[in-house]
Amino acid sequence: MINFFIINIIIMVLINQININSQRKVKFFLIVNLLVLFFVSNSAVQFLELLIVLFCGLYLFVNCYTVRYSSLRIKILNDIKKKKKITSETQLYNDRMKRFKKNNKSLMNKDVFTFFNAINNVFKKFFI
Amino acid sequence: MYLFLTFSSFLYLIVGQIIIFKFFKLKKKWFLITFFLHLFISIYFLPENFNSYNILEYSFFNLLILTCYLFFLTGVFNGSPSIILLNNPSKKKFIKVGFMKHRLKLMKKYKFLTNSNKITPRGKLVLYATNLLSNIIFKEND
Repeated sequence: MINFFIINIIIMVLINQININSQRKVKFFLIVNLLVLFFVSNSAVQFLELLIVLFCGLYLFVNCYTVRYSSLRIKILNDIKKKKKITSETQLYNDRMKRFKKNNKSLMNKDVFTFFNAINNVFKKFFI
Repeated sequence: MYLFLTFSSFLYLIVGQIIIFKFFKLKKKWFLITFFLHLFISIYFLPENFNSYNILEYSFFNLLILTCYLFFLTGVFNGSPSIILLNNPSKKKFIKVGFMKHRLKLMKKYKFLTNSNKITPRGKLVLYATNLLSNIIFKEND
């Protein structure tokens, strides 16, 4: 299991060096690792366990991406570092609206947020 | 081998969280509560016949899922501008939430920025680590 996770990290690092967009990187990562998964798993239970490891790994890697390109804290730090005026609430609104446009081909598009929003709402109902 | 055990420990964790957050209203320390509750559950239900290798793999599996779960819960408890916008696209309401104002306040509280909006060594380290990690693991090439 730990070895499989290390393989996932190595594959992600290698795919990250290829000059393709983020969505294609995720697809590549999934295809390659699912192939590895079929070869290494000995039973259905092990397959499921490794599949969970694979998706958890992907979620963590995607978080490295989203923190850099989407975190408000990092945005503020970058603004100050570049000696720009700190992003205002209106600029943030316009920036987030751009994400929901149909021509947005980055990883952070409307479909991804709609999916997370659905799960988010379930947990909010239970916890808050 | 670990699937059922981990699945049941997370089920106990969610039930425990519902009781603590919903009924006892202890939402402020959600991160610590979730972490220690899970730690307690996974140790309490650890089978006696596990050898050291099993314990290592089981801990790794649980820790990996817990890390992802904690990242996910950040969005549930702290809110995300994109998700707020998705639920309610009104510009007036979005601005009223004051995401930037709130984050700026938190960054000063946790010493990422000084009161005069200068980056502290801690802030520099976070910015450097974020860029480095993204360059190695996952960056945008467009």
